[in-house]
Amino acid sequence: MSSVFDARRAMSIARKETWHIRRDPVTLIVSLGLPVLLVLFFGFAINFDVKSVDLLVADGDHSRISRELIEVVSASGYFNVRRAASAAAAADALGAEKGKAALIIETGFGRELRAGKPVEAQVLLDGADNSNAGIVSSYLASAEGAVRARLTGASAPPVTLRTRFLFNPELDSHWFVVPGIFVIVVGLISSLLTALTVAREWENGSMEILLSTPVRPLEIIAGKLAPYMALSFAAIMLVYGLARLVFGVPFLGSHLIFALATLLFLAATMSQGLVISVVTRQQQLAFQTAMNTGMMPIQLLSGFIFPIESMPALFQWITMILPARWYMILTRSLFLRAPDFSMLLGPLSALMGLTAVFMLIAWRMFKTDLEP
Amino acid sequence: MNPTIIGFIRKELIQAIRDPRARGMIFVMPVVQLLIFGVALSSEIRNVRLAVSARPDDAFTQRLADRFYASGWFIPVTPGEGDPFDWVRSGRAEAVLVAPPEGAARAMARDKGSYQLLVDSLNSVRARGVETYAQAVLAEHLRDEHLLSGTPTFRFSTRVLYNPTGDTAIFMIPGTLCLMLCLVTIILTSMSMAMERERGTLETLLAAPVAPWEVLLGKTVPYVILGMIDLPLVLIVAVALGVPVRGPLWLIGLSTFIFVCTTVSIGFLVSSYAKDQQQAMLSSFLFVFPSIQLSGVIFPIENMPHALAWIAWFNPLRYFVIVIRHLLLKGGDLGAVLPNLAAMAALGAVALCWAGYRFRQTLN
Repeated sequence: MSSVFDARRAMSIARKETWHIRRDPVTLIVSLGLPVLLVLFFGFAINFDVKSVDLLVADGDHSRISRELIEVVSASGYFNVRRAASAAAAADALGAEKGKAALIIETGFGRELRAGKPVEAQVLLDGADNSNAGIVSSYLASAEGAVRARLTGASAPPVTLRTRFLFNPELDSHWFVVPGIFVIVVGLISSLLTALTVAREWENGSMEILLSTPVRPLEIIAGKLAPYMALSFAAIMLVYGLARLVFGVPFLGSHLIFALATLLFLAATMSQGLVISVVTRQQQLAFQTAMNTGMMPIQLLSGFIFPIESMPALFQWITMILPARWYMILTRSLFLRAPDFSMLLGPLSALMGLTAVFMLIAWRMFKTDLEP
Repeated sequence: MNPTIIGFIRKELIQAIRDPRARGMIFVMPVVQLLIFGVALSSEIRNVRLAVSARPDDAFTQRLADRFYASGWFIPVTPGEGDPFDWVRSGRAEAVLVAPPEGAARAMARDKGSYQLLVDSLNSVRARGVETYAQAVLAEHLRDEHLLSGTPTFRFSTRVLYNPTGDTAIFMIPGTLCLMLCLVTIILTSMSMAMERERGTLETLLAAPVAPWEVLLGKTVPYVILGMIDLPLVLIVAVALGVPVRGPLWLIGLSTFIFVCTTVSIGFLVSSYAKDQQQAMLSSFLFVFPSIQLSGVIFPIENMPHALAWIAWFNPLRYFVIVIRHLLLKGGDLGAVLPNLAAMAALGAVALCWAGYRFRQTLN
């Protein structure tokens, strides 16, 4: 038997795969067009600044001060303010999906405030809509001080807290979202493509034929992955250009490390896709698995939106098997943080380890049973 | 009902779930994912690794730091010597509270004291939350140390309706439940049709003595059934994780039925444009991915640019999410549910007619 790996034979598999890709415009469009489209789409779509939230205001006080409070809140530009007849009407409107938040000012609000008594303006949030409730309550809490100063002219406290937002001083949503979203888009598409192409060979039976030739499994794996890696790498470069030019996200890290991280990430997601396709050997199942293990977990468990730090410890551990989690740290740091190489060693070696594990599994399953 | 259809439906059902891996994908995966997302996800600010940089003799700051750590939002880290900025940059701390260099007490005596909070803002939403909490902790501390002139005169008292304790599962489950049902049904339908086409069995099927409408029914009804079987499964998970079911069950069933019919029609429509399975997958991906993003489950639709918010009106998933959230958490207000159901049904009807039309064209 010849050696386990021969670069020449791997190359010929790669050449064959390249022919497949060139013959099939769909693959090309998907791997180059789709990431760009999705990054543009979601770069513009996702915004965490509070904006045009439907706010119902029930002013039971009708004083100068209550009007001033309403004016401050409306002038923030975050809300579409509508009037409600009473506190009960406002709460009912939330129950009937006619608003997302309500501001309720009780009778006597202005009088008590002038008398120096502590007063409250009640805010009701629609807890059924988690995506809005969180940001609105956070906004209101941070606006409280300013509102208080405006309404009462309270004296400044003896010591204040000034916050410096490092790496994203304006808290620009794009800076937060764009480096994250292309992790998701590219990770998803690359694992999808491999899952599809390899599963297709199994389903058509051409994998058996390939395996009966002198080509070794490892060479098939490498040969099949290489063209897709090249394609996805090209897609990442396109996306990088978009992030810089269209969204104005700065890039402070080293491009060399970025390229290395990207290659490792691609290798990890592709070998993950390979495992899926070797296990399922059927397109429908491979697609379903790729969507289920790819789309939702990549988006929800990678730290993209929901911070990993806020998860229970067990789940923080679970997220470690997601290549996207590590690449997410790497891209965000490389874009915004100007990290030293030593800070990136952890995530980089995690990606390397995951790739090795996935590759090993895929190789093992390739080797041991050729009959599904 | 005529036996041809029943036989056809039975064949489809057997074909869809005879493979144990496929059964797992249809029945187990949604349950597992729902469990994970319901327990793990939280947009709450927790476990902020906070370091404090102060002179060792600064007792005021020491007490303030203790209050930070006692609040439950912050956990202590001690990155050692060096520049606080570097602690954040290297990821050793997520935030650093930097005391006035001469000490808090002396700074206050000179009446221009100010703490600085360095916050890692790679996640801008979380950073804003950290700042809000930090301000709250400082205000509380000043109040307790009697350093504020008078009592605080104004505050917002915020109540989160339907989820007063801010329970993660209640926030996340109703929405993700909808995503699961959407994913399963669309993929199954579009792939099964494309598979017949790719393998050439569709021709056989059409040549067989079954009417075209029987084929259409036979290719859609089983997936509606599978989707409906998933409903009690995900509902049980939801209830087990403490999500209330405040609306009537029949209405939840009806809404899910309308939604599943809609997604199955869309799956069928998608497959009618696909020559093979690969194309069916890509086109269903092209449908499913944006629908999830524009569903309001992960990102608020209100904040999107008008053009996109407008596209979201054509997203059946968006209506289903509103309906299910309402029926689980709020109750059974028909006035709120019916318009959304109607919109969903209308989209479903359009998809079904369109799919039927495409299918007739295939036959000719």
